[in-house]
Amino acid sequence: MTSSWYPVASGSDLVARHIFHTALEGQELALWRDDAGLANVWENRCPHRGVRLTMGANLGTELRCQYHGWRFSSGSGQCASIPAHPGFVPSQGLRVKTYPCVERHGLVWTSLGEAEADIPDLGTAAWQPLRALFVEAPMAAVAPQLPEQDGLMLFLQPVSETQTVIHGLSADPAFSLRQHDDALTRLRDRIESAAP
Amino acid sequence: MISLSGSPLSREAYRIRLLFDLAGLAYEKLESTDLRIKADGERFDDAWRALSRLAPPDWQPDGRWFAFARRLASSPADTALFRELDQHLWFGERAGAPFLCGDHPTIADIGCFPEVMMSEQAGLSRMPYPALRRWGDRMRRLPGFTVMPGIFTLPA
Repeated sequence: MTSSWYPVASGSDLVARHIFHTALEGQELALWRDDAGLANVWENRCPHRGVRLTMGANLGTELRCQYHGWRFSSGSGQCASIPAHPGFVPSQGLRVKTYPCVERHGLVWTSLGEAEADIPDLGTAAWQPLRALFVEAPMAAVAPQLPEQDGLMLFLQPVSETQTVIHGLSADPAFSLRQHDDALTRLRDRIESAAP
Repeated sequence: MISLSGSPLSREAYRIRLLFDLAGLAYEKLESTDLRIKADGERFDDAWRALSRLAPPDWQPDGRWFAFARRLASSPADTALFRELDQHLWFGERAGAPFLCGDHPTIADIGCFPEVMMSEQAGLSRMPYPALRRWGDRMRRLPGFTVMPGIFTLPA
């Protein structure tokens, strides 16, 4: 399967001991940072009973499913322990599906398949992530509405066929985060009111 | 002396219980599913007024966010309210204000908490509200935190 790299969070969304919830092209994702700083992009589904991992807990080196307490290791997604079978060593096949995860320009990028193009290279400017805006409209309806502005980069995350997230990066200190946020919020409202 | 009774499924009773447990206020639990709040002989018919009257000074919010909590409780499926809350908390995270009214929780946070954490019951996923989900973690890690059915604890 071919795909593209998409931003799915900003690095600062992945705070310690938290599990971030998002989706890409209809695939739900659980993102989390371990205590050593490594970010993970995982399928949001426990391989045991299919429960959402975002309902569980980030224990620092492992994610624990809320349902039966199965634990999965940072990096590999490998099942590390099963409370109901304390002496049992989980087999190698017992793991959460993981996706590639790259942190660049303050954003967390992933790809659901073999990416055809690289993550955009934005040079060495100090890009500051804006608040991501969740829009109730398909990506095709959002893309033509994005403004062109120096010092502002906007990327789209296709959440599902009807939902899109706008991720923004600013390198222009003349605009505050609040000003960018107001502009993007107005853009979102305009797109949503035009959507069928 | 404070006493409280109420259904385990009542959000009104849960808010009061959460305040008492988080703020470390001693109270007597009475066995009844009817919501009854009594403090020093005074009986409260309005759970929001009880929350406001019984909260210690450092749990008092600013008026705007307490009023917001009451709006949210009466319109728990209103996405505009969830968006407003998420935006406020995102900017708060950058300004050293992890809770609705600043650096410590107040009854405005308690007021919003059940509706946010059980938003699925009103048909709303919390996926579009990442700052709200982080705030939910912070609330659940407060010392003294207690649950009601539908809300899970988090390990430290």
